[in-house]
Amino acid sequence: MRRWKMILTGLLVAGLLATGPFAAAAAEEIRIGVAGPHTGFAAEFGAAEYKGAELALEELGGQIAGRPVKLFKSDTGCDASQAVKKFRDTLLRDKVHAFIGPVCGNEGMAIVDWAKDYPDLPIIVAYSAPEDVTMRKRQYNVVRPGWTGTQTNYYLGEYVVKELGWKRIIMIGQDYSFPWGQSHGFIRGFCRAGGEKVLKIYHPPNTEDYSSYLLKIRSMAKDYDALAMNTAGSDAVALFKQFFEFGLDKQLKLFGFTNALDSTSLETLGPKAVGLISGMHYVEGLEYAPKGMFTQEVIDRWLRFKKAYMQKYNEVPPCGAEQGYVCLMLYNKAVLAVNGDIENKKRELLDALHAADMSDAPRGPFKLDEYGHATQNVYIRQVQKHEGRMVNVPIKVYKDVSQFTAYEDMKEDYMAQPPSSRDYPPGDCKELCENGLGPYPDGQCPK
Amino acid sequence: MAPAGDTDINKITRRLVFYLVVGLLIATLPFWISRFGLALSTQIMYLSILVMSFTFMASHGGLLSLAQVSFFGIAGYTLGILSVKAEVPFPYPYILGILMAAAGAAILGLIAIRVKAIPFLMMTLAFGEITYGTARHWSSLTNGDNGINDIPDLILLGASFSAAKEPIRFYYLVLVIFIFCFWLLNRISRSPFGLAHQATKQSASRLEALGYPVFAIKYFAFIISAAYAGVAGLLGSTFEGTINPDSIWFGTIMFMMIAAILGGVNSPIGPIVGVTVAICLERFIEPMTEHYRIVVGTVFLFSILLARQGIMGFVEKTEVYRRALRACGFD
Repeated sequence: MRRWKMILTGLLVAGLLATGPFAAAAAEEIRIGVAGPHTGFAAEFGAAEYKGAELALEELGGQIAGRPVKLFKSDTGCDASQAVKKFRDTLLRDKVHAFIGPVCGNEGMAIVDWAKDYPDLPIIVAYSAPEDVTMRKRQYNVVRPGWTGTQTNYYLGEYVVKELGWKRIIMIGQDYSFPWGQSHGFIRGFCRAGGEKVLKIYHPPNTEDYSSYLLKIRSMAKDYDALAMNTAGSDAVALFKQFFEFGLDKQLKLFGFTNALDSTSLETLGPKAVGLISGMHYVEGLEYAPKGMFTQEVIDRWLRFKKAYMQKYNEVPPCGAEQGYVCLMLYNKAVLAVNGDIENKKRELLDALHAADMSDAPRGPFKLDEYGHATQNVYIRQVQKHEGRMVNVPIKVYKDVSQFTAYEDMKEDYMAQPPSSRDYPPGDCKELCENGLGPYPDGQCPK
Repeated sequence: MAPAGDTDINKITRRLVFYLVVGLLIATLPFWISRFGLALSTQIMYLSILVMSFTFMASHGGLLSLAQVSFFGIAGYTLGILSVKAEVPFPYPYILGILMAAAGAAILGLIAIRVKAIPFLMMTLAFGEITYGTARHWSSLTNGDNGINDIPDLILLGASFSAAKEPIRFYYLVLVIFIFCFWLLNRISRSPFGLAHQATKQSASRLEALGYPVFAIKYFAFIISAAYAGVAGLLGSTFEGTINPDSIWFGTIMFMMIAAILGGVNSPIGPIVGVTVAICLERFIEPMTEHYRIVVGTVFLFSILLARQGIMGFVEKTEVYRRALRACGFD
C-alpha cells in the first residue's frame, strides 16, 4: 500500500501548493495595485509612477482612513496583453481594492475594456494618454487625473501659428498610438489657427540612426518652417543630436511635443536645448514662471511637493511621478469621503472619486469632468537654465482645458469623429477641412 | 515491485481508477481552487494547445516552427476583426479564425516545408515578423499598437461563457476543447499518417523511395499544427478579451519554446507539464522578487543541463515513474 500513500501525499501536496499562497489577507488592510512598465523602453515612466505613489503614501503616514495601506507593484512591460494579465493576476491573487495605472497608451486602451467586467473596481489611470480611455470607451469606474495627447497639444498647435508664425511643419515621431494621439491634437489646433500643413513622418520606436529621415527632411527643408519632435526617451536624444549634426538648425526651427523635452532627458540634450518650446499639463520649473502667472499658493504647493520628492529620491520629479502621487491622493480623498468603508460603499466610492476636489494638486488645480478626465492647466513651456539646472518653465498658461479642448460645446460631434490613428487626421489642413473630417468649434473651416 | 500475476482485467480496473481520480480532480477543480488558480488553469490549457502544436512539428517532423505563434495571432486577429469591427455573429468568426490560421500555414508551407532545421526556423521567424509587422502597422485594419480590445464574450445556447463573470463555465468549455484536442492529436500521431510523419524526421529519402509523398505529409501536418495554434489563439483572445501585436511576438514565442523544452518535446504530456511549470514559476515567483526573470532563467538553464529531454524526458527514465505507471495499469 506504499504507493497509494505516495499518490495520496502527492495529491495533498499538489492541493496545498495550489491553494496555499492565496490565503486572504486581513480585512483591515487597503490593498492598491500600482501597475506600470518596469522593463522595456518605458521603464522609467513606470518607476516614476510608483515613486510618486510611494511618496504620497509616506505623506499619508502609510494609511488611509485609519486603515493601513499596502501597494502591489506589477510590471506591465508597456505591452497591452501583459497589462491585462498583470491586472487580472493582481486582482485575483492579491485581492486589491483599487488600481493605479496603467502607464502606456496601448495598456490603457486594453484595460478600459477589461474594466467593464469589474464595474466596482476603481481604476485610476496614471500616465496612459489615449483620449478614448475617458471618451468613446469611458467606464464609470475608470478615472484619469492625467492627460491626453490632444489636451496637451491642441493649444501648442494654436501657439506656434499665432505667436510664432510657423505655418508649415514637419513632424517626426515614433510609430505607435501615443505619438498618433499627440499629433491629432496638434493638427486640430494648428489647422484651426490657420496653419497650412503638417508633414507626418513616423519611424519605428528605438531608432538610433535618423540619417535617412534627416536627409529626406533636409531636401525639403526650404518649404517648411519648423520641425516638431514627437518622440520620447533615447529616441528623442538621438534625433536631437543628429538634427544639429546635419546642420538642420540653420534651416528649420525645432520644438517638441510633451515628452520630447521631458525633465529626465534635458541634461542629456545639453545647452542647445535652451529656448526650445513644448506643450504639456506639467512643468517642473513652475516656480520660475513670470510673476503674476500663478498665485503664491499654487507655487508654494508645487514647491512643497518638489522638495519632498527631491529629498526622497534626489531627482527633479518627472511628470509621471506627480501623476502617481496625485492618483493616490485622489483615492485617499474618495476613501475618506466614504469613511474608509470601501467594501460596502462601492458606488459611493466611485461617486466620490469623480467629485473629489483636486485644487491642491502640485501641477496646478484640476477637477474631473463628467467623463472622469482632468480639466486642468495646459502650459506652453520653454527650456531655461535656472540655478545650474535645465528645466521647463511655463511661458503661457491655458486655464481649465478639458479633454475636448475647444470642442467643449460639441462633445457628441467630436466623439463621432474617428479616433486618432496613424493616418487620421490628415496633416494637410485643406484636406482635413474639405473632407468634413474635422469639426471646428464654429462648424466652419478657416478661409 | 510489480505485483505478481497481474491479469488484464486487473490492469483495466486500475487504469479506470486512475482515469477516474484524475478526471475527478480536474472536473472538481473549480470548487476547491481559488479564482486565481482557476484563471491559471484555464490559461494552462489553452497555452498547452499552442505548445502541443509546436511539439507536434518538433518531435514528429523534426521542424521547429516559430510561426505557431503567428497562427495563434492570425486566428486571434481574425476573431477580433470580424467580431468587433465587422460585427459578424457567432460562430463565423471562430470558424474563419481556424480556417485563416490553416490558410496561413498552407501558404507559408509551400515555401518553408522545402527546407529543414535552421532555414525552416528562420523562415517561420520571418513569417512571424511579417504578421507582427502587419498587426502593428496596418492600423486601419488592426488598430496598430492598441490592438483589438473588447472581444465579445462567448454565448452558447443562451448561456454566457464570459471569462471574467462566469470563470467556471469558461473553464469547462476550455477543458472540453482541450481534452478533445489532446485526444485527437494522440490519435493522429498513432495513425498511419502520423507514423509516416514521424518517419519523415528519421529518413525522408528512404520514405520517398518507398513511395510516400513526403512533401504532402509534412505539408498536411503543418496545416494541422497551424489549426491547433489557431484554436489556442481563439481561446486565448476570448479569455483575455484582447489581441494586440505584442501578444503574437517574442514574449509568446519565448514562452512557447521554454514551455516546450522544459516539459519535454517527445512526450505527449510534455507540453502540459512544461506550460504548468513555466506559468507557475512566473506567477508565483514574480510577487516575491522583481528579478523573477533571473530565477526563471536559472531554472531553465539547470533543467537543460540536468534533463536535455525536458522534465518528462527525465521523469520517464526514473524508477518511480515506471512504478507509478505500472501501479496505474499502464505498461
